[in-house]
Amino acid sequence: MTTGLSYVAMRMASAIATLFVVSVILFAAVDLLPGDPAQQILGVNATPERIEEVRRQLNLDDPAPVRYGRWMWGLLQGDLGESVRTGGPVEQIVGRPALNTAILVVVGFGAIVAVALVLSALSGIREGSRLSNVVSLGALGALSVPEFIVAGILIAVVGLELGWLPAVSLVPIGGTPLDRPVILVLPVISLAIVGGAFGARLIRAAVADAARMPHVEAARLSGVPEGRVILRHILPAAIPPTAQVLAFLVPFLVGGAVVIERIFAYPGLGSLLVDRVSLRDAPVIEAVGLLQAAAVILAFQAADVVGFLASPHRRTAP
Amino acid sequence: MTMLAGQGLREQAAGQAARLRARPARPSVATLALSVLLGVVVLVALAGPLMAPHSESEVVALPYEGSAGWFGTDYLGRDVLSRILHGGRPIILIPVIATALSTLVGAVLGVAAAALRRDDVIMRAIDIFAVIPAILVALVLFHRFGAQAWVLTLAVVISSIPFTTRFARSAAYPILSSGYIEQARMIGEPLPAILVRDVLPNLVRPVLADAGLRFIGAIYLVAAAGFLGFGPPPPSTDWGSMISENIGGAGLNPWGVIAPSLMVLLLTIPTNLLADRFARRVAG
Repeated sequence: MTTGLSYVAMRMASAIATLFVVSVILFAAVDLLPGDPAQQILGVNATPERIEEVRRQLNLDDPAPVRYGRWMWGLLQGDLGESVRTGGPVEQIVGRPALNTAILVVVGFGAIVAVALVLSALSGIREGSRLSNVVSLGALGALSVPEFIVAGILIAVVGLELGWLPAVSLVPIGGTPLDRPVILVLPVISLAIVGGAFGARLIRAAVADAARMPHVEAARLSGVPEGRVILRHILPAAIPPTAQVLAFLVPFLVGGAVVIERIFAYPGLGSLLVDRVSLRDAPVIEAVGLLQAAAVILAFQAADVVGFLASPHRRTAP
Repeated sequence: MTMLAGQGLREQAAGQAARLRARPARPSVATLALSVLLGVVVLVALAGPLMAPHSESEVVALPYEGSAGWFGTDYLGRDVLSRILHGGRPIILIPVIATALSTLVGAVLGVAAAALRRDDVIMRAIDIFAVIPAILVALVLFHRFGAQAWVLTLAVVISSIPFTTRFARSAAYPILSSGYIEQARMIGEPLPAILVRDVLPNLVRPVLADAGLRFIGAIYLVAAAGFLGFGPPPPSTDWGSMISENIGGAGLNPWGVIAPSLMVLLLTIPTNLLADRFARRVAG
């Protein structure tokens, strides 16, 4: 029997270990990018001597493990390094876009959960009813629509044709998207349609599974009133799988945000990532990748902890 | 990290089982209609280049001319209909190949994890793969090797393997712990023979049902890659690339965006509905 605290500590340790392995893979992957940063900084007319000098300044000639060690050492002290393309500390380059993306992801997450709960309630109330079938079919249809197509149609119709909402997410200089919430509407709708349908199907499945468990039948047979069966026996059993579903929305949002940000020219991590990969700005790419991976790991671990705390017999995951 | 997408759908499929058992075995009208629709879209995508009135690079009118041809012209004045007919092959062929590969690799890894009880090694490795952003992997691969078809296929395979492995493992577990397997083991049958003779035949249908869902994910990724500018090299195109090419002129000729979007939807919606039907039938 593990206690809650030691379980959380165990999960934390596993999260840190995972993040560490991810950092190695990330570093190796970014190292695969073609082109010489020194050459790119100096342009095509640079002399070989000058290139050699810059390579030495950037410590590019060291073997990969040494460069990884230096990067990791800095990271542990909270230093993400400097951009090799535009100069300046990576924290400053990544900070603002990270905040913007966090706003998009958090608002999107809220919208998805709201849509998913309403849809799963509508379709779950009376299984087999006409309303339930229509909602299930609609959710399945919505699940087949890639978010960038929703976004493209919204931009073409609502943004350009009707002109109701901005088609491009211009963030006020020095401000955040929250200063102009209207720019969030179309990107969030684009994310929430697919994500909401996805979440609704899985949450409904989780609740339906919980309702079929033997202890629920036992409670019903021993005369527990239906309301109490739902509140005390079905819903608690549905919490762990629902937490997993919600956690799974995070990688969907992190990946989806890259495409959505690109479409709406939203100044977040996705746009930054796409730009910096083509510039081969390794320190920035690595920082963004680590942030994204950390968000996903954190979500999964949080879901495991919630599931652990919510299950009465404190069972560890199989 | 105990659940990835396929599992939830499988659980839901099990939930529908009771209702489905009462259904007749022959395919319903809806299933037939969806299959025909999907067949037509696939045919148009594969044979499209033969039917196109113009080549994919021929300029036929001014840019974003709405009245030229069926769907007007694109941002360079090329015929949208012809480019739709030319741009269907990658979005069908790459997902088919990538899904086949990732399902195969996932089945081998997943069954190995379940049979050898090596969850710690194989599943931990898979979990690590699952948290690395797929889009980052794809971007790095594209810049390293160029936006070629095999690179896109590889990117899709890498990002699907965590799902297919997890699904195969969860499907193999109940089979491996069932009575007849235990009996075979007790008689002293070697593990490889058990896997091939007893486990594999029972695994084919659920894994195929999951492959249907993966295929949709693959179409998403290929279309998204095209959209982000990593489609086939110009003047070749695919439906995802066409959407991003023409979005700037959506006010002038909306068909430049709507036509390729519709083609993607005509591909994904029937596939999704059919895969869902198949998955439910398997679970029933």
